Parts: sequence; C-alpha cells; structure tokens
Amino acid sequence: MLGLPPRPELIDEQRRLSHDQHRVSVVLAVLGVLALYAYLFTHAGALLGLPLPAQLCQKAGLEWADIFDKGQNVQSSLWMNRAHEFGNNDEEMLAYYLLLTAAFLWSYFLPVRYKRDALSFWTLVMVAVLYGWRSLAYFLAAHLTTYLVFHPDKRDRPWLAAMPGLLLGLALGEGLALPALLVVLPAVGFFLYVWIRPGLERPRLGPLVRAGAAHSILITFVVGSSLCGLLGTEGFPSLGLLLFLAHWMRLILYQVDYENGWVPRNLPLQGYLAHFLCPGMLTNWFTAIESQGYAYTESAFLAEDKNRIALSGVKLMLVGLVFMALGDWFTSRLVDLAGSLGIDAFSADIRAMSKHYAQGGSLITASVLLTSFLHLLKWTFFWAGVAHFKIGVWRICGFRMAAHFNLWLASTDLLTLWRRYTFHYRQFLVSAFYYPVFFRLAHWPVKLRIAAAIFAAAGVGNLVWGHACERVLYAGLSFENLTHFNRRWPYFVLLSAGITATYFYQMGRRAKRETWTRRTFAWDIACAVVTIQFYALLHVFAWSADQATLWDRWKMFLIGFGLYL
Amino acid sequence: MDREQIALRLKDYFERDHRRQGMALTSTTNLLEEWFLDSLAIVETVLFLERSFGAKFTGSDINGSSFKNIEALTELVFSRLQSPDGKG
Repeated sequence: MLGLPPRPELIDEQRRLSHDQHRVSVVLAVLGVLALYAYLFTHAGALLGLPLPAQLCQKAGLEWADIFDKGQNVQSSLWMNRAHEFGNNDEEMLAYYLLLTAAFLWSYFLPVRYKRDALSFWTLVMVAVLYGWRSLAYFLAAHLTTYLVFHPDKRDRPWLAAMPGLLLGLALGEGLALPALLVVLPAVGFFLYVWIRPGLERPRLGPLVRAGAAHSILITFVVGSSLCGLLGTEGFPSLGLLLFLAHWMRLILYQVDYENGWVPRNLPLQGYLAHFLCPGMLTNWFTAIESQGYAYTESAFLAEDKNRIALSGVKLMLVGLVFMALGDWFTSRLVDLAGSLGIDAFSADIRAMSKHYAQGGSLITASVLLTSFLHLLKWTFFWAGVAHFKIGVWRICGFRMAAHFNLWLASTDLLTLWRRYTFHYRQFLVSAFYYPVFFRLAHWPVKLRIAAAIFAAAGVGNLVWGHACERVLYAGLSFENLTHFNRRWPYFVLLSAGITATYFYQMGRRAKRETWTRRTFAWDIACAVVTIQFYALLHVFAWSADQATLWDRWKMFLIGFGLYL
Repeated sequence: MDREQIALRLKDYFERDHRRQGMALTSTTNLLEEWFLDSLAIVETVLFLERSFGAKFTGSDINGSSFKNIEALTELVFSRLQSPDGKG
C-alpha cells in the first residue's frame, strides 16, 4: 500500500466510524493472545501457580524439550534489547505485556480523538519503565529537537524551544550540577533555536538541516566510527539516543514525505509524536520492522473497522507465535535429516561453515547449499515471528499495517522474492532511494534508468542506510564499522544485479507468466527452489565469520554452483 | 486526447501487462489494494505513461491518491497533458 496524502476533513469522519463500535469478543481475543504470549514466553505461569509450558508439553507426550528455556517457558525471540531495569528478559517482557494490555484497553475504549495520544503516552511509560527515566529524557529530547527542525515554531514558544535542553539537563545532571544544568541548558537551547529558526525557512538551508536530522544515524555512524578510530576507543551512544536512532528509517521517510508536501507544516507536537510512538516499536528495536513514513501511517490508522484490524492483528500474532516457538525446532530436525543423509549442514549456521572452510576444511556443494538455505530459513522463522508480533501490535492499536512477509517461499523469481520478503524494509528502500533516483534520471535510457534505481535501492541504500546504519544499534561505535563491509559488498552487488536481470527479462516478455496454476505447478516449484537457493547462497558473503576472507567467500559461493577453485 | 481515450488505454494496459486472474477491472477498481500494483509495477506504469502520452512525472506524483484507480490516474495524465511542458 502506498501512503495517501492525509485529507483530514475526510479522514476524521471515517476514523470516527471505524472506531465507534466496541466489541467485547474482540477485546477478549486481544487479551487472550497477550495472555498466551505472557504464559508461553515469560514466567507468568510460575507466578500464578499454573502448570508450566514444558510440563504441559511433557504431559501431552510431545518431545520438544529443546524449545524450552531454564525456566521451563518457551524460548522467546522477542527481546527488550539493551534493557537493564529488570533482572532478565522474561521479566522485561512480562512488564511489556502488562503495559501493552493497558495501552490497548485505553486506546480501544477512549474516544477516537484521544486514541493516538493514549498510544503515545503508554509508549513513553514503557520507555520509562523498561529503560529508565534518563533514557526517556534523551529519547524525548532527540525527538523534540527533530520536531522543532521540521516544524519551526514561529511563535517562539519558550517552553517548546527550551524543552530539549531541560530534558538533557535532567538526563545529564546529578547532585549539585543538576540545578545549574536545568537553568543553563534550556536557556542555551532556547536562544540557539531562536537564532537558528529563520535559517530553517530558507529554501536551501532548511532541507539540508532537515536531511541532517533525518539522517542522524548515518552522521552518528560515520563521525562516531571515525572518531573512535582516531581516539582508539569504542562504545555505545546513550540508550535513549539509541532508541531515537532506531527510528532512522521512519525519520528518513518522514523527510521524504515532508519534502513531498504530505506532512502538514503546522503539525502539532502530539501529532508528530503519535507518528513515531506506538507500543509495537519497543520489542526487538535493533531492526525497525515498521519502517514507514508519515503518509503510510496516517492512511493505515483506522483505515477500516478497528475490530476487523484488531482481529487481523490477533491472527498475525498467533502465526508469529508458531514461528517463534517451533522455528528453531523445525530447522534442527531438517539439520538432523541432512546429517542422516551424510550432508553436514553445520547446524544451519553459515558462520560455522565459513569458519570451518577458512581453517582449511573442505566443503561439498550439497553442504554449502543446504547450510545457506537452512540458515536463511532459521533466520526467517525468527524474524517472521518477531515481525508478525510487532505488526500484530500495531494492528491491535488500530493501524492497518501490511504483513512483513507474504508467502515468500512461493516466489518464482528474484524480483517477486524482493517484493514479498521483508515488505516494510523494501518499501523503505523503494521510497527513499528507488523512486528518487528513477525520477531524477528521467532523461536516461529506460534500462539504464531502471538499473540505476535498483542498484541505488537494493545495493547502496541497502548497504549504507540499511545494514551499516543498523550496526550502530547492536554493535555500537568503533572503527571496525567502517571496514565491516569490505568482505560483504558482493551480497549487495549480486542481489541488485539479480533483481535487475530479472526485471529486464520480464520487461522483454509481452505478457507476464501466470504462476501456481495446475499447468505450471511443477515448473513453479523448480523456479521457487532455484530462486530461494540463489538468495540463500548470496548470504555466504553477508553472514560468514570474520575469519573468512573475501576470496574464501567467493570460493564458497562458487562451490554452491559446483565450481571448486 | 480526452479523458475517455486515456482511461481506455490505461485499462487496456493494466489488463494486458498486469493481468489478475478471475478479476474484472473497472475505472473505480482500487489499483493498489484490489489490483495489487506494487512499487515496481508502479514504475512500469509510469514508464508506460511517459511513452504513451509523453507526460512527465515526479516522485511526489507517486501516491495513494493518483494511483487509487483508473479514474484518478486518468485525471493525473489529463492534467499533465493540459500543461504546456507536460509537467503539470
């Protein structure tokens, strides 16, 4: 779905109608699925004196011992990344489910005009509870600064311009320094803003400053990593700042939508915050799954009856639950099966395979193909589980967000796979890189224009603004960030080349080939296997261990084609 | 070229190049949600519009309103053809 430029006069009435019908059955379904998550993935069962998931499984005679953790709950791939306020992830997730329940109930029953504010409020409460109030202060200070950059306050309201400084003072100040910081930083912030604000209205400087704010993660990545190299140090930005930077794709698309004129220039602060704050953003925030711009989020909010959206969220969360609970178990069984056939699949781990190869071990084609395929399968089970949960949370909150994965195993060519795999991330690359390059090169020959746009999105955008920027969140800042992709770039080049070749091939055919009909079924299976296997094989460049040189990676890639060098 | 001719050529294009089995395309069929045009198909459509009508488009034309249905797309093309430089 493309974002609709918001038309408030039409949307408000439609949203009111979509929101006004409360249904107890829907509320019970949402509460039920949240309770199920809490029971299976946290120690809620033990707290309530209920039989634990592992005990139930044992009673039912299911041999699934490896899906449980020490607490006899199901191992979860839902994490509150870098949270330190609680003892362990189970407790953090339990607190999250409880807060999510409150957020859902508030936003479900409050009148529609308060719904978004309720979601923002509860998201901020979650940040404070799970990450601490200092993190909340950093997080809000960064967002308020960005808001002021995008929506210059012509009235120079002191409280608004001084707020980021006040929040920074709260986050930084301790003991005797606190009162001083609470006076100095807001005052400095206010006068700085009054001085800078006229520049934000200028036709050239304004977009440049907004681009700087939107691309703050890239600036952090380049400047921070370079400084670390110069000073011989490494580390992480503050947690609240990391939470803000985790919105990097949404910030970039916010700027794209803003420059397209789709974001109201006079958007109030709570309207800005409502775009970024939803409880769905908090779990597994290392990779922003819901990476959509303002127009998309606005057109998705109460786009139809809230009960229908919420129920679709419940279904998605149940599918996610199956992926998370059984994905690893299923992959392990396939690894065992391969082992019984005499093929080493290296526990479905490309890192292990590449380490073995880099240390002088030998590999056969079947091993390379199976390991890369099973690693991709394992990763997708994990990621689809997380994505379905997160998108499910957005849906129970009233946003009709598209699913992140859409029958990707049925993709019969690389272009289709690119369309169906990690939908929101692909939309980010398309909106931020593909369209701009495509339209800017209007005078180029058609094929060159398309190739440039695909390479800009799947190659450069994917590498720099996707994978490289993401490193700041999980690996922090170090000089190694700048050299990390020296051995991984072929993944991006070959992916772009494959998509471009498929695109050109399809352009040359007058009519699109029909797929998955009775007549084409066998051929489609073969095409799907080749497509998925090629995509999986590309990951020997991206996921190999550091010990494997670039040449090792090329050799493993070629072994996948039966070529031994 | 009038609106009716533009709409007919668009309908012909979508039925030929972006066929959907078992579905009927009308001027109000939602192209994004019912006819399932995605970002790459949209770019193909823009190329078709540029070639067939000689109109020019920009990134901001790619939005849910313009691509909602054939009616809206016809209006976009028509407005471009009315402007002297084809850019609206």
